[in-house]
Amino acid sequence: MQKTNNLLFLIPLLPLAGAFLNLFVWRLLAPLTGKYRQSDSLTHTTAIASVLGAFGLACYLVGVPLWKQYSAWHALGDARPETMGGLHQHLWTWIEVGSLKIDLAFRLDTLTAVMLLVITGIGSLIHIYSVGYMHGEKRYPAFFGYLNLFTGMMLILVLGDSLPIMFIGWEGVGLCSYLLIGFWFEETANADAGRKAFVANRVGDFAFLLGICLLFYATGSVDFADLQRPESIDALKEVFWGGERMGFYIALLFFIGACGKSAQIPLYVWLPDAMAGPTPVSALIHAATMVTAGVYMIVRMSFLYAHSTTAMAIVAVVGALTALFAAIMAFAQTDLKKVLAYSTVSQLGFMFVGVGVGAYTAGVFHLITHAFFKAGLFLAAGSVMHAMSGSGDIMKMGGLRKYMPRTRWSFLIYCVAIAGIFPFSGFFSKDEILAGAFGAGAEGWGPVLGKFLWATLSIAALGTAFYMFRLYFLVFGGELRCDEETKSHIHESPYSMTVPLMILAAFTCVIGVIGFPHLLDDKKELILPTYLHDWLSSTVVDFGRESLLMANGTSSIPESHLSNTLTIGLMIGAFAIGLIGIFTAKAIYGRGPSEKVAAMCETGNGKAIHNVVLNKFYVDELYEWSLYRFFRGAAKTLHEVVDRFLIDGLVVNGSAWLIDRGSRGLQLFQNGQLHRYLVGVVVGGALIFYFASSPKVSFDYKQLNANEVEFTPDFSSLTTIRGGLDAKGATITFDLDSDGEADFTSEYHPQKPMKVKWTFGGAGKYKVSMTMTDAVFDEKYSVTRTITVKDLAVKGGVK
Amino acid sequence: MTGASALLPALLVLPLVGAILVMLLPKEEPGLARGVSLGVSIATLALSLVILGPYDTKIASMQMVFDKEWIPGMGARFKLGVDGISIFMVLLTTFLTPIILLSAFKAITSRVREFCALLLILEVGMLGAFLSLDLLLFYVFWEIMLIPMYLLIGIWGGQRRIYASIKFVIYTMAGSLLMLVAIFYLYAQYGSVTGEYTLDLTQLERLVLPRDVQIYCFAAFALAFAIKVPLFPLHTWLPDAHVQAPTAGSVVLAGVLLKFGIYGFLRFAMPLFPYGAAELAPYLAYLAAAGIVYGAFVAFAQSDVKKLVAYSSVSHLGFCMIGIFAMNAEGIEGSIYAMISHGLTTSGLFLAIGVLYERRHTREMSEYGGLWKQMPVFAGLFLMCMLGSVGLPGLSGFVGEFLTIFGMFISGGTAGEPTFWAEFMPHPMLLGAVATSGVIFGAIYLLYMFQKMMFGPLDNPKNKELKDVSWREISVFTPLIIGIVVMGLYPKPFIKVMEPAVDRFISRFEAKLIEPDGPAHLIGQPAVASDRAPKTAPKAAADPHAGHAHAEGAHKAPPTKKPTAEEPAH
Amino acid sequence: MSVFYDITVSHFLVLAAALFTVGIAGVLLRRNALIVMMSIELMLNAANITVLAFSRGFAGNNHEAAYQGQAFALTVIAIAAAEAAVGLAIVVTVFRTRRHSDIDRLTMLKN
Repeated sequence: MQKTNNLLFLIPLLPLAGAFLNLFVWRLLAPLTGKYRQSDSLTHTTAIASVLGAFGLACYLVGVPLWKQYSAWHALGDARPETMGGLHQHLWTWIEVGSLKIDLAFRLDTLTAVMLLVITGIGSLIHIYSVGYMHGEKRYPAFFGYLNLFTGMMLILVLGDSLPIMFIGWEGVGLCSYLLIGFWFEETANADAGRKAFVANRVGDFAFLLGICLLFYATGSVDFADLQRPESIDALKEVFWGGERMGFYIALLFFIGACGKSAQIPLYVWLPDAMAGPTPVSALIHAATMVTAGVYMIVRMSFLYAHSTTAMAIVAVVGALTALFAAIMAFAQTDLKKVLAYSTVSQLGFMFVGVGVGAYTAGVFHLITHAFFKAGLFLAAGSVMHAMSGSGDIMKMGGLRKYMPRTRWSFLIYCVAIAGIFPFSGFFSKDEILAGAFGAGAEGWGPVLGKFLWATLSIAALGTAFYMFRLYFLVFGGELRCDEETKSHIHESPYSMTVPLMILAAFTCVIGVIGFPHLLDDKKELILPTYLHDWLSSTVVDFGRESLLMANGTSSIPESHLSNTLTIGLMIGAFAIGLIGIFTAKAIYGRGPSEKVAAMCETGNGKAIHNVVLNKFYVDELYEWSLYRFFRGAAKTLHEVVDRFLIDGLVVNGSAWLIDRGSRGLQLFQNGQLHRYLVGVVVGGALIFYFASSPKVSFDYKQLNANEVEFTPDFSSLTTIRGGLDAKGATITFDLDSDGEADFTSEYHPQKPMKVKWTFGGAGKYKVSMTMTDAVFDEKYSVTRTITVKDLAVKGGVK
Repeated sequence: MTGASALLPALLVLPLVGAILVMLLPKEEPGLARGVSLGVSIATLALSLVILGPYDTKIASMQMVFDKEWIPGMGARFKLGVDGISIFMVLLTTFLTPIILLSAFKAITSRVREFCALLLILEVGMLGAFLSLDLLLFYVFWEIMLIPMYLLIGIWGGQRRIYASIKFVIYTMAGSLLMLVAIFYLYAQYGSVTGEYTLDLTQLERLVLPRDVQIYCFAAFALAFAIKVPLFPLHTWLPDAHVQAPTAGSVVLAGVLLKFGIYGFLRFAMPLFPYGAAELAPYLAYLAAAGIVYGAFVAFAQSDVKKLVAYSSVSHLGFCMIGIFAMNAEGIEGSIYAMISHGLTTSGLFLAIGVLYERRHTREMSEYGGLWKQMPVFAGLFLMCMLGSVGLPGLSGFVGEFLTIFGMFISGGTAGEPTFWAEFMPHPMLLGAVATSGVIFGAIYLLYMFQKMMFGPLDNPKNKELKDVSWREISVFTPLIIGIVVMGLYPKPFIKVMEPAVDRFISRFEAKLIEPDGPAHLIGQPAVASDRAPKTAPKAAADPHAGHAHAEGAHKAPPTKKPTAEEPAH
Repeated sequence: MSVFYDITVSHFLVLAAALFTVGIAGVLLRRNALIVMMSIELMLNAANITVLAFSRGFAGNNHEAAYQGQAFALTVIAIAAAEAAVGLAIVVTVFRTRRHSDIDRLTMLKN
């Protein structure tokens, strides 16, 4: 059903062109207008226009051609094909070598459409917001250039029709993240954070690359459409190594890649540090879009994950643990953006549980809602920090509700949404994941896994509600705790910053409608519409059906359709958890920092626990010691020991030293005394004479037949040393039966090879001697050998 | 021979004449020498582009062959030709030479005339070695290259230039002498099999040596080329040579000279001794993989930027080695691609270091910091070269590295279809994975270097006076960066040109590999156990199985009780 | 006179070997350059005797072979004369510059 659409390439190209203009063209043209640097208005107009253009085009393409295709597909009912091709554009063949063919091609299907709208939509708002936030920045064009570049790369990531193209975007966003985190590179810490992000991502990319290779090894393709063919799926089900199937290893490798990009255990450490970047960057890259690329990738590869329940279990468990630990780590943070960063890690964990239990729609749903409220939270945080002269220390805030009402109300809406309060969007998406986890079960998972995931997530959700409202009360509640200097500058942010906040808040309120819970009436029909599920079902694999195929009919299908009572019960539970979290936070932090908590953190066990949480379980230190120091130390050791000492010192310069010393030793003979030289000449000559005048003769033999043996005299020592003169005319005799008499006599001639044949009585050992008589001196040289005649008939080797 | 065949010797004559011309110029006018040599090198570049015109991308074998008698007594010929593998090396050489000359305008102020002439002679040597199809001719050019490089390091180098230049020459010579022995062994064997003595590569390629001999000969060739690559642990001449060489020397060393190692494997060692190559391939591949990781680790330990980049070359060339021993189109084409890309990116890095060295006369990383603020344009150029080297998708480095890793990963074939190489290369996936880890390490040390120099506070007062790059310097970097981007985004035309030659290489390698045992014989000919040479050289037989029949029953005589002599002298 | 008819090639060879040994001993043991040169002459003459002995003893009726041997001897005599002339000139020159001709003290070939 796939349709060609030649406008697709424009979606990523527009932001990329914007980046190109801002980074190169305007800069080069600026001197023409008589100014040293390009004007700010030109910069942000270009940037915003390019992203808005991409957004508009995306809206058009999703709304008109894709919608048409979707409606047609939907209308087919049960007769519809498993997947809908979407819109497709082939630009050029990127790499074609041997059996590997990578097309630079884009595909817009329903999953991509969702991502596309989120990226360009939220991206546009953040670009607009940045105009106010980055006002007066010296490297203004560079900022917007990178931001545009990022948007373009992210769009390539989601539009790419094959894994390598996706990888271009995947690495491209990593690069932009690196550049933007280190945007204020004069602070060493910022530059360090950028590098940390890039390296952590590279670890993931390593696995991603290996995944691509292994996938090609298994299926011979890297193209999404090709990979979903039945032959490819069969190849993934082959057992590969250690009893696990091919699909498991590939899925695991891709998941490691996703861990790097989406900040999951154990590669999450870069994300909190990444808050060193400007706040709009945190909002766009480290909350709404780039970090969700891992989730997107797993959903995109759902056909692969559906064939390895083990891999899915790993995804879900890692996601759940990340959600929980990140939530705990957020408790003790005192930096506004750091809290939000851990919150992001935690929420990403929720999404991974969603995709891990096969509730792909739930994962994507949470991705969407999270993109809105988390981007909003970051932008609001930026607005707050803008007012607080750039400081993000929440202990020095408080009471800001009076000064910045627009920011405060939006912030509250986001907080309520992320805490999972009905009817805000976060409630629906989080609930869907919780329900999916509760009902999860597949072959080999056991009955407990789903409940364990659900319980872990519930605790994480409780934590989420608590720390988000701790943040809210500390920032906006209570009394202002900052110094007078800062206080005099507090102001509500300009409209270019608050309008995006309000738009995001509006979406946060209503976006939940796309994913109502699955409530069935008596006829097994859905009571409430589930738009997102229907929309995505045209692209994403239905885990239930696939796992049935996989397990040869013995599987238990994950029960994504729980009974109505259970669904509603879980919803009420989730709602209650949110409320408990909020009220606990209100009770403790309603009037500013709690002294009780502070006191608890100062004494005994409380102090120890607080320290562990505050220091993020010492994971960074662990990495520092185990990896960084190890790497540094190994590098130094290898350089000093292997390179300098072993190779250069011992082998290279050592051999030079040996030659030097050896030549000094040999010099001793060169003392200039003719006598010694002559002794050498005489002794050498005598030796040559001796060896030359005692020739050795021998012969070879070869068994030709049952009893027949062929002899060949060998005079090589004669012919080489005496030039063959002596052997010429020599008489050769053979005594073949060891009776002391010659059985064969012949004259030897060097140019005519001689062969003697003799038939022995049978198998066994015989003594044979050969004698050569010198023609000139009449001297005799003889040699005797014992030869073995093998019984060839035994082996049947002779006819 | 066609009319186009005169192009290749012209390509050698032009820089040679240029070098002589430069030496004839008055000593007092260095500007004139610079201008003339730049003009000559650009003309050479233009001429090498002209070659692309008559070059037919569909033909796999050698093209534009120029063949003249050279030393008739030995059978050595002056034979030149290009195919899909060497044409890129030729273009890389002619592309880099003007850039190098332009970059040295300010850096070299003493003996300018000699410097320019030496670079042009070096170009002749490199082009000749890439083009020659005669083993002796290749050897001569191979040694010719050493001399200008030796002088470049020895005259215009840094503090320990004498040590570095002697180390460079002895290292290289030690390897290449064994190669010379192997060349003459091959020469003698071919002569005794066919009765015709020649050093023509295309003729010698038809000779199949016994298996153990192939291993020895391949090892002799491999040593020479592995030193040049440089393959771990034969790499220690490289950092010294790089650090002591002037920028121009480093660029030509990293950009072109190192490629002779890989090129030599592809053009000479592997086609001549496929069985030897197959037997030793795992070991060389292990060493290459070790070199990737090792080079990256050691690079990270350096405080001297130039040394860091030098070790990164060890790591990057490891990818190329991995690629050629993958023995499939992906790996080998990736390897060639990675070579070209390395020629661009590493040259860019060395040039960038040269720019800083000209201004500050130090290469210590700790001396720099926060330069982005002071030199934003330079930082951008540096960043592009660095990212190309890291292997960011969309830039040239990625395509080569990806293809080599990919090629090694599937070098035993895919799950369903194993290839002939599977029995020779154990654990290709492990090797691929180890090589891939170089991707992480590459990011670590290059980013570390970039950060140390470009980011952070601008706290060294000496750096506050630094001037951003001039237009001349921008024009040095621009062609490189255009190359890096174009090769990253649209590799297809490059790959299309190399594909036929690489396919031919693989199919011939495989065909020769499965030749039967026995003494030396020509490919497709029976391996007859006879020391009598046929009087006329047999032409390559169309049917590889022709003439196997008469090898048996040669010396069968009826058994007799009486001894007989077959060659009686009476 | 029959004793002379019993003289075979071997006798000449023994004489030549004895002369050669005396020559070698002289070359190796004596320090005066003139004596060394004389010893060399001895060795050359020993070689001459060998050549002539073979020529006489084995050539038989083959005149060509006999003449070859004698021609060799004449060549050796000529070379010995030339060698003596050059050698003596060197010795004289050495003696003039150094006031001695002791070859143990002529160590300029050293190192």
